Amino acid sequence: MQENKKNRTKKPWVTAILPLLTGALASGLFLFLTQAGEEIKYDELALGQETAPWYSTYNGTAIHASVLDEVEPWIKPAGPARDKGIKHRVLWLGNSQLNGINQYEKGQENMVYHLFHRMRRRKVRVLGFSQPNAHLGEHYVIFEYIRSRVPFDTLVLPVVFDDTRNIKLREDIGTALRDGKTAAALSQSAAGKRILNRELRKKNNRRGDEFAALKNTLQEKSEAFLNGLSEKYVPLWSLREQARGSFFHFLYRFRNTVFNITAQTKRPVIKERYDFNMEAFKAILASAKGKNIGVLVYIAPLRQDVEPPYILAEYEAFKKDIREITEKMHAVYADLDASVPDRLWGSKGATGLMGRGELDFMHFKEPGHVLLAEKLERLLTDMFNRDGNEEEDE
Amino acid sequence: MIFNSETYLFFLFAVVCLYWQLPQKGRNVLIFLASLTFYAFWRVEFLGILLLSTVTDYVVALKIAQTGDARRKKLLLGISLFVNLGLLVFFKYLYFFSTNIGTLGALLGQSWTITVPRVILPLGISFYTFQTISYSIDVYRGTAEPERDFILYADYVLFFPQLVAGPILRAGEVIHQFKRRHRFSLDNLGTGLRRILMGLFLKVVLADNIAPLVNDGFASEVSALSGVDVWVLAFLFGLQVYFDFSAYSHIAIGSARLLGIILPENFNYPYLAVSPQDFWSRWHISLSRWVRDYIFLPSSYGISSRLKKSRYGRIKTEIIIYGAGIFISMYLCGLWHGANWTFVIWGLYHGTLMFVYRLLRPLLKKCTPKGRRVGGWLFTLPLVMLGWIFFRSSGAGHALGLIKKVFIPAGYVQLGLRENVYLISAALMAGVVLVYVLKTFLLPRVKRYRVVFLAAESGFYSVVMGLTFIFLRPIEQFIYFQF
Repeated sequence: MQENKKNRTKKPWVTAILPLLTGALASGLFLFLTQAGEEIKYDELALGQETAPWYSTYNGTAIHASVLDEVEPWIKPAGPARDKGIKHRVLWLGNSQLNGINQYEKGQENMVYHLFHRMRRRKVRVLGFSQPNAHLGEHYVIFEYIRSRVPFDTLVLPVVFDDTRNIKLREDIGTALRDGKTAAALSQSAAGKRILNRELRKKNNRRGDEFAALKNTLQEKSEAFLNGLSEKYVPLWSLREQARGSFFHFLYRFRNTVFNITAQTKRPVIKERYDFNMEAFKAILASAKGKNIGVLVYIAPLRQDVEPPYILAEYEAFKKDIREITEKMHAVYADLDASVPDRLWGSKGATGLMGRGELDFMHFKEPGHVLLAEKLERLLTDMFNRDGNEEEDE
Repeated sequence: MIFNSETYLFFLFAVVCLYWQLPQKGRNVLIFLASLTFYAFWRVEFLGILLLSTVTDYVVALKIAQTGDARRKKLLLGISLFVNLGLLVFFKYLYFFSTNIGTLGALLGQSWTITVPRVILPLGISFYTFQTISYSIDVYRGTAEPERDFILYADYVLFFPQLVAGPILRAGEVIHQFKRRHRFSLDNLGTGLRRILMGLFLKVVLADNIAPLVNDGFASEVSALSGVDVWVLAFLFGLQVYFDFSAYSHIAIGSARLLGIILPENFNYPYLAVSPQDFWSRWHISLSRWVRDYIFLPSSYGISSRLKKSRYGRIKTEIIIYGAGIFISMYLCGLWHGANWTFVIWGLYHGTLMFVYRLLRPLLKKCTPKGRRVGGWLFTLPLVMLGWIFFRSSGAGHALGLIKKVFIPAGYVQLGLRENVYLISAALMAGVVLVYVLKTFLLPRVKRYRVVFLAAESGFYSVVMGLTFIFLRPIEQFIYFQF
């Protein structure tokens, strides 16, 4: 016993250091094995495994943007929004249903591309802007931001019941609030003021920029230098962002497994967020009306072969609300929720840790994109013809 | 320099390697220079203020010890207080006072506008000024000897692991450690690394990921939140500030340990407190000790010397003394945290809790010890967490608007936060309790089986290290840096 005790004290490194060394090796190896290799775009994970995002270009310029920076080329003299001879310029806002093609095959294009080329023949320019899970509050900010830069006269706005559960502005759109013209436009409506106040409260609640005092310090410079060195010489360093994404994705799937949440789990309305989204919707229509921008509102397609993950009474009430608001604001309303046949809807990976694929309620295959583009082409053409006749009558 | 950065890790590595190569005197000089470098990485221009406070109390303490004249001693102590509190008032409270004077003037129909510059708050000023003040007071009281070696004294004040956010040290706790030549030990190395790792984990993995949820919640319109949401935000922020601040203390204690210096603990599972008093014996222990020794006890003594009767009306004198002492102490403790009425309200809120507990103590003695502990915890935890609403809110109006929700029964039905927020809040709180249970009851038993314990420890640290590595980036400053 005494000898064992002696041996133990002769090897303090075993108790003191060995677990740390082993831990470091194990975690390093695990990170390397799981993260090195294929690059994963976590912002696209919301689309599901079988859905691929696609953003089309025309003459080298994006006609379908997903971040604000991509809007800037639209307004250049040679940009797609400035082409001469264009009768109408259409902005199409939306969520990942616009850019996500389920069961994607090479060469396929999404609805924005199809509508762009259909309307190009009619001398109408269509430009799309979509982000995953974008809600009406974000659409409102984007609408005011783009409107102050790009001269369009028609807005196509799909409304998705699912997205009325969100109110948070993503970082990219939060920066649009710092644009003077956008902030001024938003401050004209209750919803816009609420968005601005919320962001201001967030800023104030952080007690000012906590890192303002670190700017232009030695710390900032040394950190940039060391980070650069680590990126260059430490193989695992550049994998960290992806590893963070993997970790959060794992937690998300773990949560879904524990609480048995699937794509078909009923998602109830969150009243306060729903009301905010409706206020933002009204604000978009009011602002568009004030600027003589025609608006085509449509209820986004929803697969019809199974019960949707909504409480049906709430969904019907939502459609009624949208219709009433649209008609009151003299915009065009279209219920397109049954416009994509069941066979064109796809599936996606399991949202839990185990299990097989699940039904995708948001994204459909390319033929569905073509169909929707056709429907929108007809609706827009009717709208333009009607407006043209009204102008003639005047 | 901020702890959760590559720069600090490289800096610490360099200092530790150099430290163990040097003789004792060299080590003390190294700590002095390293501490100045540590601070200069933030802002070189504020080194002057740090050194002003340091040198003032070094000289004052020596002069106090040299003189036998009581009046002169008092004058010298007054100089120390004037310089240190003057710095604190100028950098931290001047703007706050000026705006409040303006507001008061407006209420009285007067225009009392005082234009004051808005200055950057020097990092750690609330901590190092308190440390130097305590040194001068201890020498004045005769409970400590002044240190003649400036380097040793400066090491005590400027010691980089605790310089900007504590623990607030007493001279008697560390100066003798700087004098003693330590031998390198793997045990210190292992313990130090573990503490640093745990600190980084609590900060970059837990606190920094809770912060966006808290920020969003507090940015929401009050009308959109229910009583449940307010409780959840209170608990979530309570956990965030605990992880954040205890993380700093872990890293500070761990860094010091790598150099063979042992710093006192600053936290002891505060959310397991069974009474408001117990909470303050577990939360920011170094500050609550400071407040007790330099504000509460002197003020209570001062008041008691003026009250000659044992009772005034139906109130016992000891209650009056305790109440006055606790409210003065917690008012100043709240104000120390920041120049905003929300901090003052938070301090007074805790003062009220402690005072009420004091009044109820005779009744509580009738309960069984277990009943007092369990019941005490069930009452103390939610009350302490609710207090964080004042601490976190941007203004008194915002805080009161949120607190009001707690008392509206009908408002408990609606939920205004994202579903994940409730889950995360519950999981974290359960995690804190679980960690305590595992550490207190299971760990001692597992330790008997060495191989099993080593394997479990390795597994634990592989998870902690992996997550810390992927989350290490300075996106959120330590909350207590702003104090």
